[in-house]
Amino acid sequence: MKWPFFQHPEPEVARYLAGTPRRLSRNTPFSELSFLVLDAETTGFNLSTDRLLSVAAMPVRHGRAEAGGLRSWLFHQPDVAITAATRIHTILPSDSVGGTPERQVLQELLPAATGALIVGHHIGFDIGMLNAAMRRHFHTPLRNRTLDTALLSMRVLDAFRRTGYSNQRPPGLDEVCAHLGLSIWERHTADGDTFATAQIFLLLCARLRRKLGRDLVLGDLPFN
Amino acid sequence: MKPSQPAEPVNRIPLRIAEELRRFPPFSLLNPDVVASLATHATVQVWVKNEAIWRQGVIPEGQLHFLAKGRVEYHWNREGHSELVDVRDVGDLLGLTALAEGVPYQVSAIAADDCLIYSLPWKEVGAEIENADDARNYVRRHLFWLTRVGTAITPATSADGVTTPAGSAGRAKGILQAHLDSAQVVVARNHNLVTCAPSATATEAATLMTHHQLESIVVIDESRHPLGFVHATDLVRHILVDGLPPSTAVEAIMSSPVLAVPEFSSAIAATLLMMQKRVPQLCITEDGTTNSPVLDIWSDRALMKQSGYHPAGLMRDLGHVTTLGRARELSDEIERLAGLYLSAGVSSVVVGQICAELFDELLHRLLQLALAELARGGENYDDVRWAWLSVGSDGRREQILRTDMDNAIVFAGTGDSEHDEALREKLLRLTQRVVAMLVDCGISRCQGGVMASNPRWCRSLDEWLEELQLAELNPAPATMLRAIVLYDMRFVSGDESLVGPLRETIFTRVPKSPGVMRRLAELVVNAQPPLNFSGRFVIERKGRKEEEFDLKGRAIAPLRDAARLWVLKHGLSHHYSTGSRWVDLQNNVPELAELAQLARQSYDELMRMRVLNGLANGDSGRFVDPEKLTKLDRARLSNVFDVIRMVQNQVRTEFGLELRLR
Repeated sequence: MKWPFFQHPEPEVARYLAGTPRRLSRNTPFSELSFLVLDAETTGFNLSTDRLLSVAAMPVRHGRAEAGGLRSWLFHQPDVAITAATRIHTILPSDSVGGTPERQVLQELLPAATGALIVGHHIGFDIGMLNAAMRRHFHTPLRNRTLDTALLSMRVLDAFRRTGYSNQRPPGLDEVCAHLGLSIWERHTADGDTFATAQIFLLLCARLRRKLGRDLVLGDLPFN
Repeated sequence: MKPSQPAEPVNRIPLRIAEELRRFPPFSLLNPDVVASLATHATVQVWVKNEAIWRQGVIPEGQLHFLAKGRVEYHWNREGHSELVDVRDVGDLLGLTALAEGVPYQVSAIAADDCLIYSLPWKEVGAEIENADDARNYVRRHLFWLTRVGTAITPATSADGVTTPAGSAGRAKGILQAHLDSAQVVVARNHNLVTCAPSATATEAATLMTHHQLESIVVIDESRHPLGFVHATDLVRHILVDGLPPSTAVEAIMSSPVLAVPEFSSAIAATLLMMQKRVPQLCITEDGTTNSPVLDIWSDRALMKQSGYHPAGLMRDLGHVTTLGRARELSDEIERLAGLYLSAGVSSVVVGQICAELFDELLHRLLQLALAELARGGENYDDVRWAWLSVGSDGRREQILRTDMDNAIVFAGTGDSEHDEALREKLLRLTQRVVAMLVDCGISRCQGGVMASNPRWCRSLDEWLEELQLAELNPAPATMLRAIVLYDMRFVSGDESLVGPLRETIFTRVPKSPGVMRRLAELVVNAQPPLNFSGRFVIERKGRKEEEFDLKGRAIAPLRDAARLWVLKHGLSHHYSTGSRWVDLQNNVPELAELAQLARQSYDELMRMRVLNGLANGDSGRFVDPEKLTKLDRARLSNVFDVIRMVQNQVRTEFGLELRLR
């Protein structure tokens, strides 16, 4: 898709924008869809003050999670402090110093994200962090459609079905994995969480497929 | 601060997948680095309960599946109804057979649970497995075949997902133990003990010993108390070496005092006592001292003889047979011995050899008896050189059961056909007598007339050579049938120099005759393994043996024929039995080594199965009822048929026989 009146000055970003359509037909079969499962570790939950520490992305094509295609990056964040989150993800400030600059990570991530549907657990937050970074460097957010596996699990798994109680919160990654009987390797690393999320995603899609009794199409999945 | 070295974190997920893979064979048998590099190609797929991972008849996509979580059932669809044939559990590989053979899936794989599957590209995995001996062996011997076992099983029994290697662990007690169990106590035999008085001369003692075929004699006093032994070595030492006159009284040369044990004491202790005191025999006395009457003597031979059915004891008894009734009894014991050994897990090849030796000894003895009998009637065989041959299965030392006899006679012709006929007539009188005796011992006449008493199987050396030549010129089925039986000949008794040239001719001439070799190769290929298209047993549909399958014709025969074919081709004439032939091929023909090893194991298994089946049913054991086989036996049998297919394919390519539609 060409925008005759605007071309992004960064070639990577321009290619990404051009290759990522905003809309896809609701009837596109599941096996033809290209997904990118994504997970990020951050210094905290504040979109404006906290920073990305690491991110991992794994492609899912033709219904297969490609373990060898998983890539992860450690961000170069020169001025992070030890926070409560450090205890969880165990990425020390000294590690962050040796990472890749944010801008370069985004440049490398964009080709993988081109044309893909992004999947993640509580993906809204990860996308928010990535978008903040995108805006800082390229003045444009990501335009992929996204799917939260937490929401998908609420739709597919009876245990997490929407109850109407106001205090119901979407299930966490551990809860979903425990319910599905999956074990998470390397929990709280971007790698491990991404792989677990990819497995959850495939399993949930397969469950949904059985529930509906037919092959899935894009319209069956709650992408926003 | 500037970023020092923008380090890309290692992708840890493939490493974790590799770790997971390496918990299970065949990946556990591969180099860890290789597994790690394979894991980088891994993709993850999910199937939920009741979904089909693949359907029967579909061509594989080139992905080998590793079941990381869940359970998969193999359903075999036949004539409209589907049947659960196998179950796969965590750590199992799916679709290996189809990939390895490049054929469509033979069964449908249905997820019995939510399944998490790591798919690996077969091209890479296959290449790595091919490079690693252990892994290749594992794959070939276990998975490969088990995926083909077309037997219905219950999911519960295969839930462990690990196949037990074929073996006889815990099956029976060891052979030594079997012997010791039956020889725990010293028992006095109920017979007339040969004794002599102390005043008897050495000559008298030696005469008694020779007459009774003893190596020692016990010297007793008036009240039958033992005084000493005269052993053959005592005679040698005192009479021959020291030069005492043969008229010396035995009390001067006997070994004294004697050691005595009571009856029903431990046989092992008695044997150890003999070893400790370095004496060749003990006395069994009434109260265990030398001050009581002697009941029997106990030697290491007696131990052996008493140890159940020991081949050495049987061999000795066979040499002393004088009546047909006793011969019959001993033949029964040979068969019982074979059963004992086989159920104790001894290789059927070894048992076959033991039995062949024993039956040979029996035949020797029967020939002696027959010759003596005819000599009494005035017939003398000193003017003719002849040799008794075992041919066919007997020639291969494989007659464990007394099925039927296969034997022949070769005699030295004179060149004068009339004289030869006269000799043949004379020999036939001998052989007819011997064959009749063998029949009395429970060995039935050969239906095909392969017997030394048949004029067609009693020929002069020149006639036999001519016959071999005829088979080369005209390898028609009828002539070949005789020739093949003859190819497995073995000398048993008579003049051995007659047999050498015959066997040598076979091993030099046959490999040079393409027609005969082709016939032999066809024989291997034409036997169809009793598996149908999708790898299930086929049972006999016609004839008296309906619902059973022919173990000999369909399984044993092709392996036997292939061994003969290759042995002839490579000129390995040292061994007679099919088992030893395979070993020979394994050691001497590198390109067949692996196949020969598998074939030998398979052959062993088949023979064991056949003999045990035969003993259980009291027949030749040729027909097996598949319903009566245990699950393990059935799995083994399917493995064996895979080996037969491999052998047949090898013969096909090596001898240029076209591939037939199976």
